[in-house]
Amino acid sequence: MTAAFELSRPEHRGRFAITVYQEGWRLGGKGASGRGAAGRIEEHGLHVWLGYYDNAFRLMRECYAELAEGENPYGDWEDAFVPESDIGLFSPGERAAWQSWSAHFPPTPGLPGDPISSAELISLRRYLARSLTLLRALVLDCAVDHGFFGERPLEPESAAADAERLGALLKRLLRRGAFAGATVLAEALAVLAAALDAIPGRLDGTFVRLAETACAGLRAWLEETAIARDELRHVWEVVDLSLAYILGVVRFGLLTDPRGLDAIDGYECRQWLRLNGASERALASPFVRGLYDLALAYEDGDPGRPCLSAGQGLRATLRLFFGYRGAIFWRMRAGMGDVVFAPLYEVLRRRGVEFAFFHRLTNVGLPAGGEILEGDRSHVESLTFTVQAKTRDGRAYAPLVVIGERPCWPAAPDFSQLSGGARLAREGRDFESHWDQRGVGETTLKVGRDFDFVVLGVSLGAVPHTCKELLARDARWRAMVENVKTVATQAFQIWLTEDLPSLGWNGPPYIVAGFVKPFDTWCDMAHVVPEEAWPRPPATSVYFCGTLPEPKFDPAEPDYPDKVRAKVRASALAYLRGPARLLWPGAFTLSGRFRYELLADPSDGAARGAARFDQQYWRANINPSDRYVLSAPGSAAHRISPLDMTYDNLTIAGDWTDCGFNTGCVEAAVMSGKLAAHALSLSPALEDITAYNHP
Amino acid sequence: MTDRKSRPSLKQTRPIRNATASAKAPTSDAPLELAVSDAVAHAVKLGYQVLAQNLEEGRAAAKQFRVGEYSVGQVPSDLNLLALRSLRLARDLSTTTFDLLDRLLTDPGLNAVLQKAAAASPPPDKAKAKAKADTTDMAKPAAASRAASALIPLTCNLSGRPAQMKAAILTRPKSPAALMMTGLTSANPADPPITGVSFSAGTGGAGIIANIAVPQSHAPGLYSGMVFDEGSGLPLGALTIEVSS
Repeated sequence: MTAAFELSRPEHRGRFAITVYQEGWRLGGKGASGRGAAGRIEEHGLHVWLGYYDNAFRLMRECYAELAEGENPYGDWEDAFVPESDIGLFSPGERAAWQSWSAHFPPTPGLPGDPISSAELISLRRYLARSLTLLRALVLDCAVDHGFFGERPLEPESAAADAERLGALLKRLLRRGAFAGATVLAEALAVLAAALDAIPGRLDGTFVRLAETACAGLRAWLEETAIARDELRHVWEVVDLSLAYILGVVRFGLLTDPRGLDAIDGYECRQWLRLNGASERALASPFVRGLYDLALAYEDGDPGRPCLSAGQGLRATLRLFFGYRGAIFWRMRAGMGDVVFAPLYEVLRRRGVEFAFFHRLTNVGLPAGGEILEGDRSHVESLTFTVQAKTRDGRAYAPLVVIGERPCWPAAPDFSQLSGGARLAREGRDFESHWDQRGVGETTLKVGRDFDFVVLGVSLGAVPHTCKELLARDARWRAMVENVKTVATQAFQIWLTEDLPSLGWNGPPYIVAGFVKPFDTWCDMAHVVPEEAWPRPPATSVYFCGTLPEPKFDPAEPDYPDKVRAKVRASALAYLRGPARLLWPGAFTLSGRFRYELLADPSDGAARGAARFDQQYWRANINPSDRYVLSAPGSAAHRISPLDMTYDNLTIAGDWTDCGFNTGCVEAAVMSGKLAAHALSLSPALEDITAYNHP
Repeated sequence: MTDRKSRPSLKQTRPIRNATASAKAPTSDAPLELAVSDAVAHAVKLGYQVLAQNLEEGRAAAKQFRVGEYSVGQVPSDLNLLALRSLRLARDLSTTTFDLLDRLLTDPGLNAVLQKAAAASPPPDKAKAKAKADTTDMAKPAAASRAASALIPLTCNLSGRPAQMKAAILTRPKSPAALMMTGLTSANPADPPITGVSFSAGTGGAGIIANIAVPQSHAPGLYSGMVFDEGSGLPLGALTIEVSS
């Protein structure tokens, strides 16, 4: 979509006639959402936009601005994205089963997508200095919720009348004093970092020695006193990790390495931090687990196999903490399909871009020949599609439905627009399922006759199924598919008739990570309910997601998707019956049974007990194109860039490409799309792709 | 054969990962000195502020503990140990801080920059006038000349029980006579502080001398204290000595 947006800009004066070929009935891929019963939003998973997604936000801001020039049911972009500054993390407590930890990230000047010059982009040297500033902020500002699962918070005024509590208060006071001393150290290190920033290369050795000395002292004290106390432990875990990062950057010579953080891409992130002195406790901290959970960074979905390259892990972490503007998180007002892909579709249509829905790519054809070696030149000769359905009378398919006066993507195709639609519906055609390859025909486009250039925008998981010739003849593509790993994910959504605070939840209002697997990340999505169309709106909806351990079933079996979906359903139910009790005690009866009657039923049916869950929404993201792309250690070198010149009429787009920010997220997808547009038109300029040249 | 179009050739096909590092390389006309001196001044200021708070809190806690608004038997048994550890930590970290700053400020690279900046500094009378104007806001960007002269050598003239100076740092005061020190405090709150510290100018005006008489009754160990501007009450530096056993 980004490539189409860039190539259809008026500045190109119609130079490119663009057609988007899309399997099924909706745009968005892993980011697609649909409106189901009662107009409720049904997502692939939980999508969070981060405050450093400058390229993605700029795209959407431009899109919304262009919509405002005509009839505009979408509103302003700032209505579509809402800032959020808090995150909740969970960890096993010393005395309680789980402890929640809230982190607040103060707003920063500006908004994501605001113009930013390359001079404002921070270097690794500046990151060092800002890391130390963060240490100060964490030490001084961190708050731990004691009252949630364990002891009650100490009230100073009541403590004055109670000797024991006074003693506790005094202890806390002393600890604060100790923290202040630590902050002095942090400030001293900040001076060193500032000097490093100003005098490249001169102080590295000094810095390493001093930082190692300081870190050793801090860690000794940490082990002695702080980590035994829950209220201090998490702060010092972050301090510990930050110190490891600082040491590692200097030890590994990253300040001057032309590869930047790619120089440590071969290391697993935790392994690299461990090498640089991070404690095992810090590596198992909620901070680290939360980052891995948010990045779905587990090979084959196995929690015991963390899979995140040190280079990209640090790059993403640095961007997350030091690159955000406005707020660290931004939530979407409605589904990602509604907020992102419907406006994009509308703008592209206005610009004259054509859409061919129900077209599934099956082959990218090459000219006859042998193995294509690095440095060789070739091109795409043909594109073959399975035509999944045709519209009545050959008219363009109208994909959107209006809910609450806004155009939205439906959760299912409109069979009434399709030729033989009633039959297709009766046959249960699933146009998005890899396991349903049925079609009504096939079409092949020829280079020169039907197209000049190709932007291949399928996701990596689909490449083996769509690019067989490429894989057969190009070792680089084979290496990419083999080394850039993907993972299946699972998600479920429930709609509740009571809000979470009334059910006992007193944590942060938005996203929570690091909780019990498999649904370790979840989010109260009450803010989207008003966008839905319930006759009797529920109080809230809650989205859960996590990786899906590779199912043991045989993917060759036609009922594989059903089996996996049933497994996700069972996992979701088990989650509601078990770990949910820790979150929402009010959702359980005195006898410990989950109150299924809390689940809102869009059909207002008479289902009782666990059967009411069948009216909720869950899915297994096992389609090849739905699989989440990982940043596996050592994989960056195997990614292929949209700028790669091997195929002179082909470029690629997606978060699986070598796009400068090699991790699975919308920012990477947008950066890649911009690179693809650059590959075809030299526009946008690379320096206008924010952080493409980030270390 | 079809007349086929092909992509334009590209100048760059990979990210330039050290682009920002290259862009940061200092140039002859870059305001490098400003950045360094400002960073030093700012960090020293913050460090002192936090250190003062640290010591104040530690003293207040120790005082509250000694005053005994409650019975020692009623508080957790490890409170004494915790208090000692905390104060020791504050002392150690403070010492480490000054070591770090000292190492930084004696670094040849930084010194070269500072000397270069000092050579380009305004005449003494103008620099003095500017320094006076800057005293109310240490966080303002400072000239390199100010940073070069902001820290002055502090040495000790120790008498009484054998002792040696461990660490000292002092920002330049308005005049030596304006310095004051409330006392050098031990990590052990039961030990009395070393008081009566006076200051004088070094020979030929080079640096400041702290005159400290260490009573024979004082226990061995490290003693730290803050140096203040008597007029404004602002902390100017800190001093740590070790009383020998």
